[in-house]
Amino acid sequence: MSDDIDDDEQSNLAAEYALGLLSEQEASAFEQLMAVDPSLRESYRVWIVHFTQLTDGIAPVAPPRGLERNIIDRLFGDETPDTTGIFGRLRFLRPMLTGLAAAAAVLLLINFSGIMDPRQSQPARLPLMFAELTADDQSFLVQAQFNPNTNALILSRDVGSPRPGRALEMWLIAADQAPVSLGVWPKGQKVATLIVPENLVAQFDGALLAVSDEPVGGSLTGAPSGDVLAIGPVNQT
Amino acid sequence: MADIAEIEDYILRCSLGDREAFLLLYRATSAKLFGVCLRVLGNKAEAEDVLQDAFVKIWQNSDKYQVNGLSPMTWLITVTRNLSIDRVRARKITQGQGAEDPDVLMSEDPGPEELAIASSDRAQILECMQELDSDRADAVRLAYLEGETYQELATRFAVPLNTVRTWLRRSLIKLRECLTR
Repeated sequence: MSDDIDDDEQSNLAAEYALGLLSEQEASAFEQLMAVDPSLRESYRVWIVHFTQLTDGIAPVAPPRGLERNIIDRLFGDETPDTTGIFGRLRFLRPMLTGLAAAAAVLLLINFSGIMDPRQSQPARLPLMFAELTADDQSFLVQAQFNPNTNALILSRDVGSPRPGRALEMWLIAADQAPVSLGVWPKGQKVATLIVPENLVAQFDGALLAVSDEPVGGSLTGAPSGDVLAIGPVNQT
Repeated sequence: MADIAEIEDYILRCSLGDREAFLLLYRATSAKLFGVCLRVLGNKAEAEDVLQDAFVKIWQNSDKYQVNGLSPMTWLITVTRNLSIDRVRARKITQGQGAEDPDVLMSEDPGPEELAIASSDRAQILECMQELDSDRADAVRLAYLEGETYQELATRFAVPLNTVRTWLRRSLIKLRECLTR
């Protein structure tokens, strides 16, 4: 994959991504590339290490004392209620991972091979989800596994291929919602991993996954523009 | 401050659900991370909010840290910086733009005396930024530490958006050449 773009271009993209200069679309395209391209992940890692040193000159400032208690309360409050009652706000963690925060989530996946490795996995907080995308005429079959703890959507195309000169695009269709693109299937790959933006994770359970026939690079309209080739529901078993 | 190995150990223990390790991690790193929040946000109340979000996220994602290949402070600072930048951008959307004072933003560059003193153990990127034209180094710094977009940089430097992108990308190539030298 990295053979297609030269070193400078690859390095620049990784740097722009790390700085947060890419548009939302560019960033999500970059994340998809990075998920399958170790050299791109390495490029990003190197930039992050350098850019982080821009904070070397920032002096530490002790946060207010109450903050520690607030954080403990937010994380563990429902299990260890505070007897004073002052910190008894049992707030559920609000979804707050958007934009660059989602980029940081991708950063966590840098060693991608480790994610599905049972030897390294910690007790999962959320169960895996699965989907089988089928076509009425059996011309297409895609197996999908989604890990809501890592946001990794692993796809395996068992039957079917993109049409000549066309691409495959994945879509999430939550109840009563318009389809949202999860990204374009990397060219020529039967198995692909897409990183799902954090704000979509909660919509997975019970939603539909679909794959559609699109122009190379994906739909230009933001909605499926070609035929839906296969579709199936997401379940936890 | 705890050393790198200790911090790494705290994070690994967090991933096993060890709350004491989380407290130790907080006590060892929160001042630096709060400094980062304050620097990016320039506002104490927001910095406090974002620092809380950062530590919640650090706890929740601690199980992924061990495979991410970054030193623990790099990871902690990146999580904190990115959440801070998200907050800055959300604020700009709700409040409109243009509140920053460029003189204030630029004032953190060390003066010549500080530079001379610090040069022996300065980070490589700071050395390499010296080789860029000063406004281009500023652009990199503004993007990283203020979350400025290409559009904002174009407005600030009064050049077309494509121009700012072209020269920033050229600067990144120069920077990489220097960093790998």
